[in-house]
Amino acid sequence: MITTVTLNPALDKLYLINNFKPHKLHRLGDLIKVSTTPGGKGINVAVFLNRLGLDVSAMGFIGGHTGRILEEMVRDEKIISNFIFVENDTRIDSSIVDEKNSTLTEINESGPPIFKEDIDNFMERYERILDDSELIIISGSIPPNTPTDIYARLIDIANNRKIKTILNTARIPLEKGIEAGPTIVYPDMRSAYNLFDSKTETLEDYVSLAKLIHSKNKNIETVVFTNPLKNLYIASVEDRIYQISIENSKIVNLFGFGDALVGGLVYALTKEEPTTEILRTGIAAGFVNMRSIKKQIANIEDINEAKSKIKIAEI
Amino acid sequence: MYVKDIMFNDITSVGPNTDIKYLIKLLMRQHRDLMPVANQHNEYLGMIGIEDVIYNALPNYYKLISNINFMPPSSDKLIESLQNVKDKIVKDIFRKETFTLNEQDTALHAANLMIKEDLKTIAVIRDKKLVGLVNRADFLSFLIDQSL
Repeated sequence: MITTVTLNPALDKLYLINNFKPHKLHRLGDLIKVSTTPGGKGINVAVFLNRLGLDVSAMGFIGGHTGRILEEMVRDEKIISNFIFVENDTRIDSSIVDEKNSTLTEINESGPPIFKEDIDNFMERYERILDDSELIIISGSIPPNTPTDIYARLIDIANNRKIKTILNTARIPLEKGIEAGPTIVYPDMRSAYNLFDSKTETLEDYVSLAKLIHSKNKNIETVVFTNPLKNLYIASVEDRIYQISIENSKIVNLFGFGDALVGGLVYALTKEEPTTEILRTGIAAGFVNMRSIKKQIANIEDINEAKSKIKIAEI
Repeated sequence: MYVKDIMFNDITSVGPNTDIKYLIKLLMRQHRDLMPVANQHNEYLGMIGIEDVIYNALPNYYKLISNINFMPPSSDKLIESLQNVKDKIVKDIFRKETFTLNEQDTALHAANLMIKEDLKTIAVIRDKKLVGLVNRADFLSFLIDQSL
């Protein structure tokens, strides 16, 4: 079983509104569509992998009415649910897509605060399911009041049991997590920050940052960086550096790009494919997602077809 | 139709050392009556629910309540008894002997067990480990969906 950890899941609401304007009433109807989906990075990956036929479980904190809706959606997907219920409500993340004017407006809540007893309960339950987990995917932000070394602790525990981990997050929880030595690191660089005080402007910047990350812990096998807007994709696997590019990479939507990429990587990993194939599948899955307005288009035929557009060169 | 078709894949559980006060919080937050108990390898040990907590606080309560002359204990007494229980941990009071199902069991077998033993929730086990639950209500809604 693959275990996904999403400490701060969300109910994602997507409004498709043409000509979205402030100071105006937008009534939902035939022309305005809304969809609600389970969200949070780890949950997106779980949905993706589950649709590709893998055995996946979802862990994290949920609460209140929104938490129960989320749990039911996860359950309907036939994902194994293993959530800790907390006192306050799971957050709602709203996005307004205006295709006509090509704008995206996002309103993200911060999520419920998590208290020590819930964290203790989570850690205990996490240790309990490690026996049955072949791989742990740790993704997304941490909720308010959560210790910033929580991902590092999860990685430490998994390493002691020789279970592989993938870390996809940002900022301090990422830096502390990297030091604990996850198997694969995929820094979330969507918002501007300097990981380990390093710049990330050019290809060379990414390459030296990848090397710096490897130097933090010898357990780190792979580091992946993506910057779709610059068509820049870099992976370093042990001491080899690969530059990956996508032919005709038309971007419709960057929602869930990283989650699809993680899903693709994991899918190929479980099939024990060679390194370059794993990277190709990951980028192809992200690319398929990028072409469509909706997230989580996990169709293996599309991914396989997209692979031919991915070029990988060792540099 | 088999248990695997009607179960829901929920492996939420508590450990034997979870304290009762916290257990009650979890049950209330999740709107549940029962919670599976599992050990450090996620092997299923039994079930614990609100009824076990009440029974433990007032062992005679269930027997007395069916007696026509039953006078409820004073609320002070009830609160005092519950105070004692809330300092206990799951392993002190959970139900070790419970019925379980396998994914390959027939749905009819699950239905019989639920009716005969008056169970609302049964754990589904694979190699001693908890893999899901069968709920009476979910079962019924599944049957109704099938008949449409």
